[in-house]
Amino acid sequence: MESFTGLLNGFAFLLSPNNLIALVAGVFLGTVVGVLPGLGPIGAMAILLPISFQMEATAALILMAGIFYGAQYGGSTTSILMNIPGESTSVVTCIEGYQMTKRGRAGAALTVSAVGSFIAGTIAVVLLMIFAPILGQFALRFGAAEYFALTAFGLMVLSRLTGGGLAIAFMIVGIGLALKTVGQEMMYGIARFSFGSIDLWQGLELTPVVVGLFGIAEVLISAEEKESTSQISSVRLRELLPTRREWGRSIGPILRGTAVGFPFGLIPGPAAILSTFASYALEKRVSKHPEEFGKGAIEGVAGPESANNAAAGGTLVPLLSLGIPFAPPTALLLGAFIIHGVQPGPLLMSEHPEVFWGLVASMYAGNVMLLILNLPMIGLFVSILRLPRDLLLAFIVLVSVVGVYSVNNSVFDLMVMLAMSLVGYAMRKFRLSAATLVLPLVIGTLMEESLIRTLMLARGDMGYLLSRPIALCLLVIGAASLIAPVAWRRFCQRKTKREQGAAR
Amino acid sequence: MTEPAASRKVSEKSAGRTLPGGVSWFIVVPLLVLVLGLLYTIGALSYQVGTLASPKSGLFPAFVGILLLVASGFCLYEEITRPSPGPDPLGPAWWRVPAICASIGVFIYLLKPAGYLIASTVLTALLIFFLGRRPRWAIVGIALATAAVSYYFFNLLGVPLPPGPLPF
Repeated sequence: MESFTGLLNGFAFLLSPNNLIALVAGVFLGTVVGVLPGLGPIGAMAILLPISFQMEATAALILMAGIFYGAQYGGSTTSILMNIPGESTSVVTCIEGYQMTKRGRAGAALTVSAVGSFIAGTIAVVLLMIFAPILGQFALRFGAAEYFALTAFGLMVLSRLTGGGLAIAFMIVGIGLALKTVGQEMMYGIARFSFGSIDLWQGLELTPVVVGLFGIAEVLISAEEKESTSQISSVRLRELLPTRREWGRSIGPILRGTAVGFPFGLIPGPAAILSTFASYALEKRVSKHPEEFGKGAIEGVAGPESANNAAAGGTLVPLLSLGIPFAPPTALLLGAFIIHGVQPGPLLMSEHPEVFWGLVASMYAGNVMLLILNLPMIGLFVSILRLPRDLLLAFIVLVSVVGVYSVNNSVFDLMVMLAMSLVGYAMRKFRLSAATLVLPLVIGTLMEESLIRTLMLARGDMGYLLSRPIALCLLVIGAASLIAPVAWRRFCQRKTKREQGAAR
Repeated sequence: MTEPAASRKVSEKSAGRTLPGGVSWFIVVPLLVLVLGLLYTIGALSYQVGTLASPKSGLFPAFVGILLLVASGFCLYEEITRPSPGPDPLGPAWWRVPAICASIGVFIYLLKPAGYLIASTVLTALLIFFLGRRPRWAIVGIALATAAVSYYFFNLLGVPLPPGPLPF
């Protein structure tokens, strides 16, 4: 009942003109950046983060969240029509979506994708409403030890999930934490690694780092390639309706995709991407028509597209209830919260109900709006792909530099942005995950403060961490996520060797 | 976002681009981090570390320094024993990367003394010049229009922009 009243209040907050404009702008921009290959929601949110500083807190968060989940809708368009994923979360959609386009069923694929995204997105908001308060209540029991264990757990799971070797992931996590230690620390007020510079004394801001790593680095990667000459298929409105058989085959995958996606959102790392792969694999396994996979099976569009939207909703649970982002887009949302002096976490619902419920209500309305926007306006979104690339990239750079400058009116921030864009470019070339660098940057301060407090409370006894059940659980799960895959691989190798030996 | 799983698979394009002795270019990454990690750790130890019971401001950076050294050391070992594929090749228009960075550098240099309008006109003109093939009059026209419209738009949003010598 409390939730229902909160939600009604949320809709009342949402109905203010500023919030409504922010919602429309957010979901529209989200769809646009989802459609555009190269520019993702992280880049767009990073670019708009400083500009959102000029807005009210609730409106700014509605805008940023709208971009985040709007991009999940838009990402499928280019995957289906051009075989180019507009978003990394739509890579899997290319497999079946483009095959459907080749068979003349692009409209059906787009509709199923949009409806699936809508259903999954809406169910995810309901689950968010249920789980965020429960987890928030639970988090009220958290002390310094639990917060340290939670941040350590986040970084351990992230290191395992971002691919590549563990050593590489830990190396990037270390770089992120090292960057976070630059500047004045909070416990004793001592400036570290500032080399006498006032700018460094204030520490590295999240915004220039993220805009450089994701926004400008995307531009650099895109600019070094020659302009694409892909044929852009167009779809007429009347071709959008799937057949009854296609609907029938899509409902199960949509619900299963939602069930797979939401829990993925609760895990640190690139949840939305992983959920699409998991959903595709599941659909292939349970399908009555496995032979159609790879040739345009609609289940391969419905499942993954629902999964990535459900995962997007799921990623908001740890952010809103614990105040800890487990994915780069939510790290940017946290940045937007902090810029506006709102601390997400267990007390968010009691201290800033208008923000929490306004955001939840905006997600319900945003999902409806996206469904209405996406299908009739598909032609408009596709035409965005025909914009001259030089103008588009120049515009992105201009908005980025102004955005970064406007946060602190600091030329130094622009220099940081430029340096980080080169780092982001190099990381992409070496196929290293820039997302792994962002999370430690965001949670580094909390990790340090909670570690120092824990050590002080325990008088240096690290065993104290293990005497706290929640902290122990988190650390054990984190450690298991690191060790289990290696142990399992070794076990399988030994088993195979034993079997080969027995066969001889 | 960078693709996560299986992101470092050997690609046909990247295979074969190695340093003398068959060592991958990737070795540069852990080597660089190892050196920086060493400098960082030395820097961290120059602050008061304290003890576990009474931690001071250098303790956390010292832990981070150790993490950097251990992780980059392991990574280096892995690279020597099992070289990974080199980096992705540069794109056909790779020269645009330094050109764009230089354009942003010019903007940063001009922003405070020359003001937003002049700096953004120069930035937009340079970017369009490097990124496309348009006649010079079009480049100047688009750059001027973009700077003016964006100036108006950002002012509307209340973004404070440096005016420079211009009266507006």
